[in-house]
Amino acid sequence: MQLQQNLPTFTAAGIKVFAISYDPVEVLAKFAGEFGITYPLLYDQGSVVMKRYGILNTMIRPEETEYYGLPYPGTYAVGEDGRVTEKSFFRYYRVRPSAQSMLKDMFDVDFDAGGDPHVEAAGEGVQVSAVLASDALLFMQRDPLYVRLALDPGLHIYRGPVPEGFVATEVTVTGPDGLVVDAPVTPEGHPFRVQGIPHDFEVLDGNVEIEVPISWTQPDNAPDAATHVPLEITVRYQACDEQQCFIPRTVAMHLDVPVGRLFRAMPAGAPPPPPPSGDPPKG
Amino acid sequence: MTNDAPKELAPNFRYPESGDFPTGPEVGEMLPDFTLMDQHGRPVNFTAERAGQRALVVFHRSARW
Repeated sequence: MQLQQNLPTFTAAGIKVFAISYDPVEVLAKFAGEFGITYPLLYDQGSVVMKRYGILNTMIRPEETEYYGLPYPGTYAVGEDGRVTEKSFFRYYRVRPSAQSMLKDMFDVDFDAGGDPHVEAAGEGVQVSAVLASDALLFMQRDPLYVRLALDPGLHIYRGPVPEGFVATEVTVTGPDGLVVDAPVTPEGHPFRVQGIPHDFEVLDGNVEIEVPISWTQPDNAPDAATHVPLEITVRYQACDEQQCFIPRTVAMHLDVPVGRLFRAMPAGAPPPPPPSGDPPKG
Repeated sequence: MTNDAPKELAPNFRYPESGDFPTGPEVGEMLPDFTLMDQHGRPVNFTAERAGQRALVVFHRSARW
């Protein structure tokens, strides 16, 4: 999906994109249809190419039929002569570079961020991202910032409040004066169970979306009005599976959000704007 | 501290325990050619499709999960 969004940049730079997995054609067709993928999604039947490359994940046994045939997830950059110019492989499936960072790091191509302001960070088994549900902040408009944690299957994080010894998932957003951040809204979880016994606190798994309402309260008609609001987003969590916990992580992300204009400069000679209705001027 | 916290560090069956796992063809080597079916059921040959351009080849997990 992210590759598709950035496909025009790859194409403009003369870079062809190929994606290979063990999914049969019908699965690829459905996926491509759902997400509008136009670059080739290729079916490596029997994981033949992965085996030839030597990147089949051999930690998965053939009897684990659902997962057998997966590659170690990675990406090759190939030059015009067909030789590998860069490669990047990761231990975990969710840990992967963004399309933009691949363009920059592997091909030295600058990217067009495009779309709504968003940022992402990778962790062990957890992909953290934040996206504003708007292309810009507006004076006194409340916009949700969605902070998302995409957890690998089998992993969970904790929803606060939690007893001592557990790390609750926490999102904080800070910015300059004029930014108002309301309390984050965390989805309902389900009871944490140890050996089938439910405890009185909750865990979250799968794709977790925490909503942080933010508003910008600086009038935008001052000569020195901000054109961008820098947001510092911090996400703290601890990911665990049935047997173990990873080290608690604090992910810091920076997101520059543009400020839209409500009041536009009137061209010379244009009629004056209508007088504001509502409250009478204060004495 | 609490004794309830998960503490047993069992190996995770799906991931390598360290960064030490094979990553295939090395930088500077030719990326071996392949011909695979795409989402439209058409065979795609890497070299022919690339036609002398640079390429990004992504090996990813299933689109299903």
